[in-house]
Amino acid sequence: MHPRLATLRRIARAPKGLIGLLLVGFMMILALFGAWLAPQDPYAQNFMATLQPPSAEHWFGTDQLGRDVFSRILLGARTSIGIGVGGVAVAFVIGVPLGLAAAYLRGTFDSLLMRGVDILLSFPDIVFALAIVAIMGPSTLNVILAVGIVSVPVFIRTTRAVAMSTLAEPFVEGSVSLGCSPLRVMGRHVLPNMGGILVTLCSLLFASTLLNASGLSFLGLGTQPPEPEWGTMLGESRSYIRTHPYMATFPGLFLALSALGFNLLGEELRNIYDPTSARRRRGQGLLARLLNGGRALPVPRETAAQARARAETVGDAAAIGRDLEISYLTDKGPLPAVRGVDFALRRGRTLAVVGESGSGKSTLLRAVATLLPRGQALVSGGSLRIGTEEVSALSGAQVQALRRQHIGVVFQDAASALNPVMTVGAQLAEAITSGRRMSPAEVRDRSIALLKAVQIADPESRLDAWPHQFSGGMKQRIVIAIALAQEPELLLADEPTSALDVTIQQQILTLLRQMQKERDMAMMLVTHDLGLVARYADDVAVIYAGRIVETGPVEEVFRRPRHPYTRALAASTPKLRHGGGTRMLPAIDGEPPMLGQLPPGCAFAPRCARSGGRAVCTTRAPELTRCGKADVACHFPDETESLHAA
Amino acid sequence: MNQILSAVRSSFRARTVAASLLLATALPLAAIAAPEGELRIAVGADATTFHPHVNSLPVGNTVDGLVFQQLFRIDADNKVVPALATDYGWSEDGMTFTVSFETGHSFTNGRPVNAEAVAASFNQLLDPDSGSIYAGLYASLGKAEAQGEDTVVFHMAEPNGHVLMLLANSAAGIIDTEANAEMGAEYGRKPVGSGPYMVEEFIGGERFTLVPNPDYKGARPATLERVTFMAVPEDGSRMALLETGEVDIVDRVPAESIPTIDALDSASVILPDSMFSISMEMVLRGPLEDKRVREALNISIDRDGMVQGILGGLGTPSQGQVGPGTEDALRVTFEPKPYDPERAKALLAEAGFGPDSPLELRVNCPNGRYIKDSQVCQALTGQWQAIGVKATPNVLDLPSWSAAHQVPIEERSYDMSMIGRATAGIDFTVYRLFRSGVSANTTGFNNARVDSLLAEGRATTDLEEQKKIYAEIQQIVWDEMPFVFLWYQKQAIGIADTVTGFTIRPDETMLFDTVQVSVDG
Amino acid sequence: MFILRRFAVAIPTLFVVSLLAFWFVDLIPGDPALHLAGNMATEDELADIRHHLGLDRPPLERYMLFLRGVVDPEIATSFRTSRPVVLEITERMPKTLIIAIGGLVIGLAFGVVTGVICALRQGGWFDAVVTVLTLAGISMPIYWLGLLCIWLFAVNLGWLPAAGAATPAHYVLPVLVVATRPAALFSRLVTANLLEVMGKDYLDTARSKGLSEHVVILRHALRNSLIAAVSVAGVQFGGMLGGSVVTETVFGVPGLGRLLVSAVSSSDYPVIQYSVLMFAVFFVLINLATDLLGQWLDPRTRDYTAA
Repeated sequence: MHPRLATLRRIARAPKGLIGLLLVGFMMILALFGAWLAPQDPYAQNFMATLQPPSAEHWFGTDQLGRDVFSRILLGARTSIGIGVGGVAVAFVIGVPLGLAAAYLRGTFDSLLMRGVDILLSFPDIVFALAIVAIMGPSTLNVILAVGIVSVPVFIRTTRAVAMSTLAEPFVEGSVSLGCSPLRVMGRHVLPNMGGILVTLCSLLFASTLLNASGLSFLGLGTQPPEPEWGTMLGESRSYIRTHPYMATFPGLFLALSALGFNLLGEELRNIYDPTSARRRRGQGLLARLLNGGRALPVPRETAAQARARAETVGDAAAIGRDLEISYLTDKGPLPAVRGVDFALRRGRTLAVVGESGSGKSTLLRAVATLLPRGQALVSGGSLRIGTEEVSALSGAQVQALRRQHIGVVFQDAASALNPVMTVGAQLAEAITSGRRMSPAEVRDRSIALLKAVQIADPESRLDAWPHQFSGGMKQRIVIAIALAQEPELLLADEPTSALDVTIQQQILTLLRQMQKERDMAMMLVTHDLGLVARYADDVAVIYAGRIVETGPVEEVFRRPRHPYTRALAASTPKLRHGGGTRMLPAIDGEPPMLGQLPPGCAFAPRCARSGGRAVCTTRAPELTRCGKADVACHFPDETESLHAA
Repeated sequence: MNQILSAVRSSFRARTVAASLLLATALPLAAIAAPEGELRIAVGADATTFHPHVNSLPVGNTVDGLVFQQLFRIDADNKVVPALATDYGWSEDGMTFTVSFETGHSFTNGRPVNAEAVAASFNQLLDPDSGSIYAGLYASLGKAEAQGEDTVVFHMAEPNGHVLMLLANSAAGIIDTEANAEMGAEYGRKPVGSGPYMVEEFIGGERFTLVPNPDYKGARPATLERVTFMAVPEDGSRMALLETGEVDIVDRVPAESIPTIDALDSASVILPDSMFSISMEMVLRGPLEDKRVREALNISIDRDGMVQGILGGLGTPSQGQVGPGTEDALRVTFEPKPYDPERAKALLAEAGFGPDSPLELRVNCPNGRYIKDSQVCQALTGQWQAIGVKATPNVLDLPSWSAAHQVPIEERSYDMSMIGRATAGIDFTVYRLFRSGVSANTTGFNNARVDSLLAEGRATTDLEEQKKIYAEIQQIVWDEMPFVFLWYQKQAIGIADTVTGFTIRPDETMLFDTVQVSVDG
Repeated sequence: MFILRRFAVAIPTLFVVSLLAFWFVDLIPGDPALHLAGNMATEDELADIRHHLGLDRPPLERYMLFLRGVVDPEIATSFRTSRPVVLEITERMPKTLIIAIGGLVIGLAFGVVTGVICALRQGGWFDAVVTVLTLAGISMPIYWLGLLCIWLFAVNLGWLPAAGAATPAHYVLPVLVVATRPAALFSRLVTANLLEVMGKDYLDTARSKGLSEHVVILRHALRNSLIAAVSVAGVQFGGMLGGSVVTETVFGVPGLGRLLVSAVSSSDYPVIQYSVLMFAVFFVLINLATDLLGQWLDPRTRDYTAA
């Protein structure tokens, strides 16, 4: 299907979008064909029939000169819609390129342009419009120019501001420094990023442009009679507002409906072009709300099985998962991303969770952190205990207390994990004081101690600095300090070094390991980097397609990997046991299965060299079973297979 | 009173007028009581200044009439009557005009209103460098000179038989020139006068209040403790103020609001005449030089229909160019122009215009200057189109509309323009509109007979002769039809029932001589 | 230092505005003398008045006088009232500022609150109601809304005065009516920006600290999403000052907008010129305030603008 048609279909699928599309279409038809559809002469006066209420002959009544309002509305569509669309188009065509150029070129051009915008804005709209009308004479075209030019500064400023922040993003800076042509940078990176806000702005300005035009009519400077235009008709009828209210109703209604149509359409377009808003909107569907039951956190009610699991927990574990299932909420219903997972995080030990992208490892970590994206994912089965609490049974406030005192989280990208508009000290203090009262001096002492602990030099002076003033490694240290603020038993690290360069990676992981040992915490380290697992973890869980396929102590699993997936991983990283450098997860033939399209039986079977097409592999999913010191989920854990050359 | 005046006018040697006697009879007994009650008025126009030499707005005229005293004034019946003046007369050659007046009055700052003060006031009015916008209009007065304590002599620049009319206009209010010099522009806001009221407070664009002048000893003492004016330009909002009882009087009631206000228990609308005479002033060139065309345009419009249908009754079809109240002694009226589209078509055909060679007309109208002006414009062109004239309406913003009249006749971009004229005095009106070569004459009207009659009318001070002269001028104008005469506007004033004794003159000046507000309504 | 430099940069802008404002009045059709003397005046009378107003002097001399008038109020006087323009402006400015600032603050408050709720409850009934309300807010001409409000609240219910500016109660309706457009605009802007911010990691950091969802949204998400709204607010405020004329006309409030429009329609050149110049100064100040506010909200911009 043609992409544009696809967009149309997507718009039409949402009720708001459909209504918007229909209204805009209707108005466009009126604008194009209204003049031919008019049943009576829109200019013909009849003093015998002035100010008539709506009737069979005059559907919308007649005005003060006895003209048929219905016909005037139809004819007026052309001018009215023209003013709205034309005005916005004038502002867009002038404003957006100038704003982009200013953001890209900066320097003299930028400051000159901004001075020009200042000058433009110094002249009040009305005076400006008056001048345009005075110089060129009052006509609809000049009204369009006047209301359009009045909106130009808004476009310039918005475009410039958004473009500047986009251009400052690392990936765009990269392509700029690689010598990409400005047009390409704009077209590839900048415009797509501001599409949403520009569409919103256009749709909002459409309505306000129409209103500005009607404001001009109010002052006698708009479209001049007898030419029908909705704003002018509305303005002319304002003195009849009390005695003949229907006179204003119809132009007002058409004005409002066209504004409504453009706004709804604009909103739906924004949802489509701006992926973040679209995902959220859909996530909050009826299903999600039903499943949430309106609670603060997406935790289902405790089932009997979960209650049983709760009774048989292990004493020294900081967190235990039993038969855990985590699902994403989609249009087609909940989609499990993690299925039947058992794990235990024990104090003083680090569990590394290893897997490919999309295997569900980060989802698992987020579930343990109680940070599953609200309305998008939830724990849909099994039991998750943190400390002594069953998470699903906790209230919102209890979950918050849990996060405060028991869980610390270190995120993948420290740069985006810190709020850019708060000082480091404030963000640290927030973590320290959350849920308890402390004097400012105590908070300060604690902050400094934490920064010292994560080896940040000169912590006293760093408290007032902003995140953007720190390097990537330093930011991650601060994130770690925040995670440790209230001495949690559980430290969760989600690929904490993937955004950092190699030397910094080592430092951060050493620091994490040191902290974990010193404070006797249980740590979960999610990574796709096997090299790290050997050096920084005690236990490992290999996860594939949402299930743990092999888990056990690091030495055992790496010395004697039993699951074919683990073996493939291990074999493709020969120097693994020597622990030299970092090893990325090796390439294995075939693609990991898509979420929701799991093959029957063992999920790894299609890529498995060992299975050899045996029926059991494709019909029954293997359970985790004890083999030596590890647990393996394979029907044939003790076989070996001839590996493809790695 | 008219008889007395004409008697006075008929002789060159002045005869004493018993002004105090005259005024005593005109004054109701109630006015002698102490002032009480507050009158609140919402007006559509912003007052800019009360300085009589600069003010050009009706609301300013109203205030000036209350704050200043004059030698002569225009009364509620629209007649020129003596105010302070006790005696006056012309010299034989008509080049000296002498007025004696009542003494014993003083400005609110204590300075006496004596001959010196009156002469200084007029000399400032006559000095264009003072910023007076009426220096040209009053130029014939020449120079004023004090004579003793109670007489002022005007050494005329040229004879002018219409001096009394000039002296009765509010621009001739007696100001305290010394206070004016001290205060500068503030004098326009808090003028120092000697009238029955004084300005207590003036908040630009919002409101101003008048309170009685405690030192006033004249014949028209204040009847109200306070008069508050509010400026509210939007019609709907102004009407709402009367409906909610926040004000007692509103001006410029739009036609469509009259039933709403009349339906109130507490207020009603009065419809006094207005001097505003609305016409389409033609540019007399090309086809419009043909009188048959002008007549065709004049008789092809349904004035009654438009007055009722568009103006909502706020008009009277024209009976002559000069509006009611413009010096009734000299004004004459005629049968309104008939509505006869068939004859109009015939006249056009006679003049050589038909379906194949239609007359083309570009019709300028202001937007928001006169009652329903832009709608009238559309209605007019519609009716002319009905007799085969290709008339196009051109509704303009006020500055463009006004600027279009300033262009030399040959270069005008239009064929006729809607203009309303409201001017006190017949001489002033017809001289400026129909004398050839005068700039307010937008039509290019040039009639030798009218020009010579205008000169004669100025030279004579004899009322009977003036009557004859000005009647002929008005007849010629009515027959020649340089304008498409439309109508005289009517004023529409909403008044609360608690207010009694309120009058408003055709020049839209409000008179408060006998106004009272009853507290319980 | 930064502020001083900004003012230094503004001077050429103001100079250009002064030139434009001066040259601009000549483009507006209409003759000041004709407006003063009325349509019955003769050419001689008009010439006298023009001379008195100094309109017959050469343009350069008039421009120099205009510039001198910036520091000497005695020579910068209105054609219509002869009072110093500065008096005319200062008398009316507070009224316009009350309505513009009041409208902006209320609009901002309403817009932010509803914007946040809409972002959190996308697709809910509250979102639907606010969408309809904000759409009505931006599709309704101000004068219509004003007249309807007067009719309802003043005439029918008798709660508030219909028009005027004498008491604080007089300002309630104009401020509320003026607030509709910023309220609608901000509601939508905040919703859009907040939805963008909601995906950021630092919100999860904040949640992991055990902060309540309210604190997460208000302290972390909202502040980031307000950055764009602030720059729009600056532009809006400038527009509200200029666009105040309609509200002021409807509610009989004697503000700057009405002063300016009546000056334009009566060719009161000095009032037009100095008002435009004052609007420009205002705008420089608003811009500065917007930037300072933006920098306070977003420390990342500080190094760039201060560099």
